[in-house]
Amino acid sequence: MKIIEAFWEKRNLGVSCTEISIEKEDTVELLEEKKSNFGSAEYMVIKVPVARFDIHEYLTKNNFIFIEGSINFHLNLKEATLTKLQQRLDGEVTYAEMNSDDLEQLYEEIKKGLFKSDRILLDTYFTADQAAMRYINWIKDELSKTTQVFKIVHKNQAIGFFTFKQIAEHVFYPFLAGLYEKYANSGLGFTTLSKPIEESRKRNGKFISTYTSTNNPSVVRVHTQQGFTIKELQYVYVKHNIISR
Amino acid sequence: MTSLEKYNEAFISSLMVMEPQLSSLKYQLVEGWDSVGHMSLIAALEEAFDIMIDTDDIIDFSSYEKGKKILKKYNVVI
Repeated sequence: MKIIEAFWEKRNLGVSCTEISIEKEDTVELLEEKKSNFGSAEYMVIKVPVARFDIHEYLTKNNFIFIEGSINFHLNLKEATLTKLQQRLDGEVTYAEMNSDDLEQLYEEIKKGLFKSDRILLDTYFTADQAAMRYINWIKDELSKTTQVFKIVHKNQAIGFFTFKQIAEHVFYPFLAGLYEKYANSGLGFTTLSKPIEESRKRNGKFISTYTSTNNPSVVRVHTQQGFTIKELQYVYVKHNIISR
Repeated sequence: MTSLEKYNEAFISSLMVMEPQLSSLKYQLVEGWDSVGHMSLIAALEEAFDIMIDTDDIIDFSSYEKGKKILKKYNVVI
């Protein structure tokens, strides 16, 4: 069991937050035993491997709410595919690392609601503004490390973005991506994966790892259509502890 | 097969919708018309009418009715 004090969520969401990842060997008894360590957080997030019905039952009885499935997708770059039409369109779309103006545009797009299936946005305890600021802060934090942010460009217009970081030798992790509002219904959503794939190839990458929510079936479909396979699936539960101040 | 029949068939087979839904159909209104569905639809229309649709028109192709207007540019009258 991994227990993380997600201190950054105090800044992002205004609540203390503990995130717990249940591992294969963890038991209900261990979870109950550790309860005192994490039970005081205002917002709790627990990620559980699928088919652990004992843990699912325990969490449900303890007033945790199921909020999403988290899919870890994996792509062997040799298996990446595009249809003929996608290949034609992909050739008309470019990408470039963002400058400060591009980043400001990205933050504005996020504030407009770029991420619609996010578990924070869907959670009635939080607001759309909180969900947006969480993403913006996340990107800013990552930019101060090794992450790069790229804009996706069609006819000199930024149509979307992707983040890009290396997490192991030959393995890249584009952990956030999306199309801007004006292009959300353009059919070019596939470029939010095809361009990170292109960049990974340029860097001699062999694999890509991403996480996607089951709350967004369209994004799941675009992953499988381009050759990604499911490496791991977890169920995510949340609980809000109302603490009087 | 008439142009309208070919046009409808492209929607029905690509987006997994029924004929009565077609006239009010818009992008993202049904689960099947997402990014992947859009690419399938455009590919089916290109094949059915032996045309190559410009990227700007692919981006603008946001509804069943809008598509009819766009295809006029390619001398396809629905």
